[in-house]
Amino acid sequence: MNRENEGKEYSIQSDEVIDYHMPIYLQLREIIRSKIEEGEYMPGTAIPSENKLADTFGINRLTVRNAVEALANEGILQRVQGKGVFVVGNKYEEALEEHGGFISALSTNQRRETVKELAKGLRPAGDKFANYFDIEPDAQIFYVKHFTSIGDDPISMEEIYVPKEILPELEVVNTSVFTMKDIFAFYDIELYSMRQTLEVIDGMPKTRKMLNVPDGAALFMLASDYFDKRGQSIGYSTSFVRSDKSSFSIKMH
Amino acid sequence: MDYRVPPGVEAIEKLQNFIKVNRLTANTRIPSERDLCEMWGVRRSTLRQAVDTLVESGELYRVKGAGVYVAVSKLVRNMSGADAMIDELMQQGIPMSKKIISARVIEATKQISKRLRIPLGRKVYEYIRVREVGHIPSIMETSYIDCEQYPDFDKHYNNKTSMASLFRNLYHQEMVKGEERISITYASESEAGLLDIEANSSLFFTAGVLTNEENVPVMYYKQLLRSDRFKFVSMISK
Repeated sequence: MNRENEGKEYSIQSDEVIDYHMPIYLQLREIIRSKIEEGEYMPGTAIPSENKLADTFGINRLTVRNAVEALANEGILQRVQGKGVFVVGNKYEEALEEHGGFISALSTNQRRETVKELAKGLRPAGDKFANYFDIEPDAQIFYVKHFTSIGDDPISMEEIYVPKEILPELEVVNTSVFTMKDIFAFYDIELYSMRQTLEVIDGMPKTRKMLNVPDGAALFMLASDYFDKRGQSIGYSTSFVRSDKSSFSIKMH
Repeated sequence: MDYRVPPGVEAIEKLQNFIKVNRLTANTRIPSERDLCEMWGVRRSTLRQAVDTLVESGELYRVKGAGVYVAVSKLVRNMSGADAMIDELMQQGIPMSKKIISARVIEATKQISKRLRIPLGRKVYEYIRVREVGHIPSIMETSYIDCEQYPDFDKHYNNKTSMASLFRNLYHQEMVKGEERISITYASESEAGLLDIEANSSLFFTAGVLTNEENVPVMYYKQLLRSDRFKFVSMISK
């Protein structure tokens, strides 16, 4: 790093000017921190890759890594294998998990899940979601569809619905890295309660085929309703989960 | 960034909304396919597929030659334990009854001793019960209780008493906490017989420990619940 500490200033492609009196990685750390604080890097989104940051600031990639590592240790950034480095927003002081709720446990030893975003976009609420969210039928809602697998094994397929007016930021947030609970917390949307319903679905041949469910094996459907303090729905999701690959546990209170 | 809702999905949502808005209750017939198509301007084949999907997911059922009906919704097994569920169902006016299939004293196996935190081989009561909900056998439950901590449990427990009330009134124990695991199993011949279903039907399998206020295990139980009759619901709030 001494090489970079020669004390001379030169212009870079960014507004930020690197001051060579401070170790470079610390300066970059502060630049990233201020970009997060000012909202340029938004919670739930990935920051530019290490190569890109190295290019932008004309510094060594290892230096970039040190800066990122420092912020990851502070819990401001989170590295996700194969996906990048993400900005982590506020967390709720009290995690809802501690008060119950289904915690899915995958029955396989390899815990490396791959989540793929199959679809994401805005759609009209339509009559069903207009009633559900108490909005106009032509109001827009986000629709997100995920597919989760472990190795070559499909595990689950999830669909999420959130009104645009509740969480406009969802457009840029990576929903395959963070849960809805996390994302609501990032943007200070009060998630007051949650209802989860777990049932077994016997039919759904298309979904079964997509998830490779063996003949005779059942399919779980887990539906989650998210409510604010007034009891108004602010989100809804359903996921189909292979019963031969997972179980659920719950703490009663 | 716009997502185009496929016509099939749109028809499913319209149907679900129609049932909800018009408060169609279980076993009510929905309008004919032709009427619905006309009302919504949906193609016949699209509507039929939507109905098929809702039949597959258990929201509707078909009666040959008669039409399509709203299915009976599943009973809610909430997460505050088996006894709370029974109280709730009774309050809804759903008749409940139970039958003790087997009652005996056994030596604690490794699993039982671990769950009840008692020495291996210690005597425990084992009760196997079948519960009827709305006159349909729906739940098969196996419970283990330590004989030493709860002497004479067998002298007081019968088809007419509830375990929770015995613990409360006789032993002054309130079962409060617990942790439960939920998975899927498939009915054996004998289980299928007791629950009046076909062998290999899917069943919820849940196992858990209920503890008292001091966190001491009181009862270890395993439940098999008919998955066509129950859904698990968990409500969490701040």
